[in-house]
Amino acid sequence: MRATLHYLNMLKNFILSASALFIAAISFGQDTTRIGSIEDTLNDNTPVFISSLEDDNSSGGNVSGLLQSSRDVFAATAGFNFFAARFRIRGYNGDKTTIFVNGVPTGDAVTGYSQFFKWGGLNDVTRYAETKKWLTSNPYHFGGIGGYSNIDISATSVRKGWRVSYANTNRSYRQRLMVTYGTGMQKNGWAFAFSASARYAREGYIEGTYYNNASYYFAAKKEINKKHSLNFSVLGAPRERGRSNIFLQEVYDLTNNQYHNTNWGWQTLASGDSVKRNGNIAREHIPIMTINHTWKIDEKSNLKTSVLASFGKRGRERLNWYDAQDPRPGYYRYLPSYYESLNDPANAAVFRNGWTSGNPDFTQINWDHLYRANDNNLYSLDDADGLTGNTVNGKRSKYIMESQWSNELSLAFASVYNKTFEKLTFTAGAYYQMQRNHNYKTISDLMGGDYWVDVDQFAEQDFLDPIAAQNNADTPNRTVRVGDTFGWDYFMHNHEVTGFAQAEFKLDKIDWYAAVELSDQLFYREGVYKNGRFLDNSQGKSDVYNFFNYSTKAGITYKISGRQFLTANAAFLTEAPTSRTVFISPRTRDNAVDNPINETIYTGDISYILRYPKLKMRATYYYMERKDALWSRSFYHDEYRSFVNYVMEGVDQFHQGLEFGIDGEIVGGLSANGVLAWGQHLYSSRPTASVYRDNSAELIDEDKLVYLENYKIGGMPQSAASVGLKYSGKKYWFAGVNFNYFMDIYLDPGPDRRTAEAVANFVESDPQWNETLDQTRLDNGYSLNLIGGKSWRMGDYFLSLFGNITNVTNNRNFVTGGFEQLRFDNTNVGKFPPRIGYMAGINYFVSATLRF
Amino acid sequence: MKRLLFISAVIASIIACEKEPDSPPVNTLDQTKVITIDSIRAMADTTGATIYTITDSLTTFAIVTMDESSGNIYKNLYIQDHTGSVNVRMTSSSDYSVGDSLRVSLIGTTVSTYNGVVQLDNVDPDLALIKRSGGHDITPVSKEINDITVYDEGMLVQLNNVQFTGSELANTYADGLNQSSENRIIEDCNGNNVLIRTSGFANYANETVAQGNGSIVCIVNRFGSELQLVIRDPEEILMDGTRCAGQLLLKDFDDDDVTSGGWSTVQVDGPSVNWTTSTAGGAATPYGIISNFDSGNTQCENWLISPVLDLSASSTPNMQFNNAYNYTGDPLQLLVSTDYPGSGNPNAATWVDLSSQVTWSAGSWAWENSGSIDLSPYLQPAVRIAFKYTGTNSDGSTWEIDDIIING
Repeated sequence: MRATLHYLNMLKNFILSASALFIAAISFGQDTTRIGSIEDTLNDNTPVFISSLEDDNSSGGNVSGLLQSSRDVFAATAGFNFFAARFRIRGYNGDKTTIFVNGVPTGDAVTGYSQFFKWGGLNDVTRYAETKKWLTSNPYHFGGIGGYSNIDISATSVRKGWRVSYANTNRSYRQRLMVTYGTGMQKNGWAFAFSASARYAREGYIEGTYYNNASYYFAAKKEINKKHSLNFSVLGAPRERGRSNIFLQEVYDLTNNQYHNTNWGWQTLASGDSVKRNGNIAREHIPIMTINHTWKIDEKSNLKTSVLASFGKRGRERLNWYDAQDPRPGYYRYLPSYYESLNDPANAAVFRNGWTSGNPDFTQINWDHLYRANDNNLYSLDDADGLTGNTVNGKRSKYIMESQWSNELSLAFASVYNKTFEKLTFTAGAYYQMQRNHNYKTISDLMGGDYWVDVDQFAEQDFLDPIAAQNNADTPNRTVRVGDTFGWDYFMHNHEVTGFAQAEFKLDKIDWYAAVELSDQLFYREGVYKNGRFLDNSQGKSDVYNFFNYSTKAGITYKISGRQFLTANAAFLTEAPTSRTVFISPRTRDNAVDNPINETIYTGDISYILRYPKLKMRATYYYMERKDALWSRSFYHDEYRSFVNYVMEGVDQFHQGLEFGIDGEIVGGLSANGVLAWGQHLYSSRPTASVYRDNSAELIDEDKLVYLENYKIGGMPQSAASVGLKYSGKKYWFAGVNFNYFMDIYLDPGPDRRTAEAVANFVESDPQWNETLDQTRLDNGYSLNLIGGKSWRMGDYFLSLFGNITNVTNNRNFVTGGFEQLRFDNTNVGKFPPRIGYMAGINYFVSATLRF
Repeated sequence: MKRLLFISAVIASIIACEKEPDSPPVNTLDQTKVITIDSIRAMADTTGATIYTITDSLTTFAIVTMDESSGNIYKNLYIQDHTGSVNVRMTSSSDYSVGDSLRVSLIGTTVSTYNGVVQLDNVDPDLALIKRSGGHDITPVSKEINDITVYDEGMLVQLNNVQFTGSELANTYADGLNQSSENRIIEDCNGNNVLIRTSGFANYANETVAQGNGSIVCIVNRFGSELQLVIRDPEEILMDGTRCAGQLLLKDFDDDDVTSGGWSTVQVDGPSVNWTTSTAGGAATPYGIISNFDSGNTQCENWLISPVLDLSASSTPNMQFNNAYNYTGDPLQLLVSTDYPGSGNPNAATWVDLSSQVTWSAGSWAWENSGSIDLSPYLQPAVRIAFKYTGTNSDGSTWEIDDIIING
């Protein structure tokens, strides 16, 4: 009921705002024609492909794959040559770029990030996405300040004919087969298209990883008459991956392998054979279905209306354990440094020998040991399954593989109206999205045991009351088996409604646009389980959190000549915090941040653009300030000796920088390109932190000042540069080389180290003072990439070969990022060193494509 | 193009100013509150009666000279600076190791004296000890055994050319089974000796003591007026050289046995009289005793004869023992022989009387040390010494002897 009221409120807000917007839009003035995108006309023939070691983009929604199709040399270089170094354009996370499918935004309402896994592998469908990576007008939606990409998946987006390709690579997958067929628009008004793709690696670049993916796409489009056309598209990309992870430098040193993966181990099968088994598996299959209606109202106006549905499963399978030792080899107590710090050289030597000798009992998961532990644990569980006197006997698993699901159901509706006057294009749109995520765990493998008991072992240690340990207090001591739901079970409901309007003017010397958006978002949690620690606020619906936001932007292009342009853009917007940050620990309860507020963003850029036939150049200065963001994480806090939920409010960020890209022909078919991204990406406030005990929601600390100002935003090079040469031969071949250099790479600062409490014991002259506070800076790095291709025409058949080699010099010493562990012991500052990852060594991708 | 580069350069220079990262309010060290270890020691009440609590925000800088890793000390460290060293007693065990340079925050700690040992106590290793760096090994001070005094308490010393005494060679450093501390004796080649005290929790407690001659690094400790050296790391016991003669014999009767260690008694006359042991008079440990009085005096001649000693490799062998007596009678005699076969009537062998070299007790049970008795005329392979007791039917003294030591 409460939720319903909120819908009404939301609707009211929306209608009021939309009316105001409409009035504002009408007053914008008279006719002009649509501004052609300058970037789109830059006729750069950048080759298109999608590759990377981690192209799942799960860690922040990287748009690199789409960028590579950009014709802007800067964006294309950032997408391909800078990708391995985790470069992010303007330092933005993926949530600042909006990815549309047929004009409908596809961001995850929970996180704001795009979900590339939904269409992974369908390169024939996604490769020609329309992409702009900066502040710009947008024909679909207001869009993000980091630009947008629109993937056209309608049946007419696929070129008529067959396209069959095979690719071989040594990255996350080894082989790819792709078949695509499009009919084009036929005389009967129907167009059909399909694509199927499979990617496979028994073992990827990193030991113990594997990759299985089969993607499908089908679309049908009907031109009903001259005014109406209807399109239906469906695509999906079921995928399963055995994952790798990044670890401590110590692990790399011990194993003499900077790509060492502790996620897998040998398991002895009943047959006696041993197999590599990965203990960290990702599975996704969330297809997208969309129906799109285009109504050409007249020559000058049209209305595009879409409904998009997306639902499916997404989960991570990983180890869990009860009353047992941590099974992960990278756990800090399994490393020699731990014993060295305890002055225990004997144990240090044992672990050092185990690691350096490559003994898999030390370096990998010891599956056989885990199975033995389960096999030996005969246990009588009293009062099982909520029944007093009910005793369950059997092998109680100490170790299991569990799947943590976040299954999405989303429905979106988008309608965009375009009207062109003589010098004006007017666009207005409305958008509604609901997304329901079902978050729960299931048992995927009892690993030889008979049952698992759905209790929380930390709560068992912390509380005398036995009910407190129950994850599902309605059925105490519940025994669960393969497939059963356990641990946590809740829904997160998100709703968003937006309306936007945009006017674009095109005059002789000046083009300009202005746009405004109003939006309302609400979300709430709905718990299925009554958690034993939170009997009052874990089951049922939470409070509803509602946020009203507005965004405005405007831009101007001054045409110095037909070849020279000056542009300037600015935007001001507010953004709702996401449900993921507002709920402090949604797995167990509906506690939320007190009075969460919208964040505010100011941003702008100015560019100077040259567009000669043989010389293209863009130089841009940008600026972005983000105020009042919310940040929350959970980790073990050594000072409080408790697992805590750590929430920072008032996190401000500051980004500024220069983007420079030039591409010019030198002589004949030889051209040179250069890209420079100089950036300064900083935290720019002192947020206040609240710390909650995870097991009791007790507020341990509040208004703890975090001295974060001017720390660098980490995990990416703040600056990067690339120079390259490319030769295009007359007989449809080309070859290119790029040297790339990455600078100012930092690890993101862990907040709790930057507090007065963290350094309370130290004076400035103690080495611990700086050791605690200083941000980890990584060395600058470089890569050299080669690219080439050739096409033949044989009658109606086109054969093209394409290939690239990245990191040709096999530079394996470049640490591209990582993270400071949030866990921190101020009595031993170096106890939890950061986890870091290295750029992959030399790797290749080759493909052959036949079109007919 | 040039104009463009120029503009870019200007913009870059405007915005490229590096911004200093934030910092919590700076805690600075008050240089006027930095003190040295001699000042800490000066705070101690040497009588041990009172405990001084440091209430000021004082700081000292020092280097760890002994840590807990060997198990020989627990929740303790020794630290040292250029002015001295001190025992640190912590509220919990720590991971600091030898050579760590520490800043010690002294507020809330206490300074006291325990049996002469100055202790910096109540030190929280997590809060009060800040490791600044590691690897600053302090070179131990080379000392001779007889140069060490109780005033060196806490100091890191190295003794060269020393060895465990011959009577210790079958022993372990401590009793690791019962986890009880034990004392062992080391000596130099001049027969000077000192105690090595080892905890039963030390990880080498059950190892047999080093058999050879060489160097050892210790912390000087004391228990009242008694010196006790503490091994900080068994790796620093480098005693595998050829032994010097050292202490050839120790007979302290502490095992309550007269004839242990190869000693023998011979009753030439007076079968009711013999050497035995006693703790009468409140002695902490037994001593050897003989008396011919048992409701009347008995005529007797009773010998206490040492095991055979090989003095052929010795340079300046010497001997000492403690003695006391009461009642009138013949004096006790100290004799030496190079031809007594080890059994039979000693009078059949040749004995030289050394009694005149002995400082004898003044009587009335007053203990006296014999002083050093020169055995260098007897550099023979089969030397024995003997105490010869004689009594008559009318009189006889009661003699007590203890701590007979023969050094090579």
